[in-house]
Amino acid sequence: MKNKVAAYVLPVVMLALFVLIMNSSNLYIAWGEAPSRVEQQMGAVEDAIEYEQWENAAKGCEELRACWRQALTGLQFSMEKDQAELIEAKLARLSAFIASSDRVHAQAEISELREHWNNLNR
Amino acid sequence: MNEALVVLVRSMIAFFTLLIFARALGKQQLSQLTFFDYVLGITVGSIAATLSVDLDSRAWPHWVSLLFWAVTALALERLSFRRREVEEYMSGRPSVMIINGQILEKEMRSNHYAIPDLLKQLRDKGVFDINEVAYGILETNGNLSVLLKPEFRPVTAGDLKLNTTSQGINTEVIYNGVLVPENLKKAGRDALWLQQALQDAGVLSPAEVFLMTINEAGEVFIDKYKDYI
Repeated sequence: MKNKVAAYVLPVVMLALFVLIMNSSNLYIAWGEAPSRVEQQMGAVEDAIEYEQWENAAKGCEELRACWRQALTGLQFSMEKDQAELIEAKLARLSAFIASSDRVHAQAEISELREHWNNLNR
Repeated sequence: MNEALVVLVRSMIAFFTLLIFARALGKQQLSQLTFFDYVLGITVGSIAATLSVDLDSRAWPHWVSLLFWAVTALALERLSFRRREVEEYMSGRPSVMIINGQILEKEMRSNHYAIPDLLKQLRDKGVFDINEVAYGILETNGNLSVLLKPEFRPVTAGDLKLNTTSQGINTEVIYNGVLVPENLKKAGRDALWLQQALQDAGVLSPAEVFLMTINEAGEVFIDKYKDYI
């Protein structure tokens, strides 16, 4: 009986676990706390940019970066390295546009960032 | 992104996935490599390597590809087992290269099998004179099977009409210092017998034994850790 478990059940469980790990980002984004905070922060930054509240936008951008880094610890096993680097680059550009109070470019950047976030792993 | 950690996790996934699929495909993959098996091995290995270290793409598509190759190979293997024509299509047929000391040049040509290859394989089998060969068959995995003419075959106990007893196969009873109880039971022995056998060999416990085997004739082999070699 023990041999049957080792021979059949264990490999199936392992393969199922691997499938789960490789697709964990979809589940994590849907149910994880850190990804939902990323979404909330993106919304807050979008609003701050819309109403040209640059101090709030800058603070929000920093918090967004912190939330993203936290979410990345769970997402990194099932996403491309390029995707992560792209989002980091977008956050840096957004921060720069907010610092120079450039509403047009900041809005464009946050829109692109949201698009990249939504398209993660699709 | 913690690249080292991600590579570690992806490598573990690739390693154990390959292990599971290789076990599912069975021993045939290892022992009877045809050209297709060879290509399959290289491709699967390449996919697993990419899954391990290519952080510029997701692990999932590579794993799906690995799964496809393994499942397809397994399906074809099962089909080959049931249908001879599938087996022949996949692996080809063995070809007779030598009959009664005569080389079949046409078969050699159609298999792109050169004379140096033939002679080398014969020498590997201990045959230095083609006249001694009754049949030489090129197998699907590229090995040459040789049947010698009766007068050149090694003499067997049957030829000399000698009475022999079968030794059977050896069963491991102690492996790396650890007793294997199911093998002891299979050999029809118990703990009392084992204790006596170890005492006779000057051993106090199984932990002192690297390997102990017993065959059907009851002959015991014991190799101790402390054998001063």
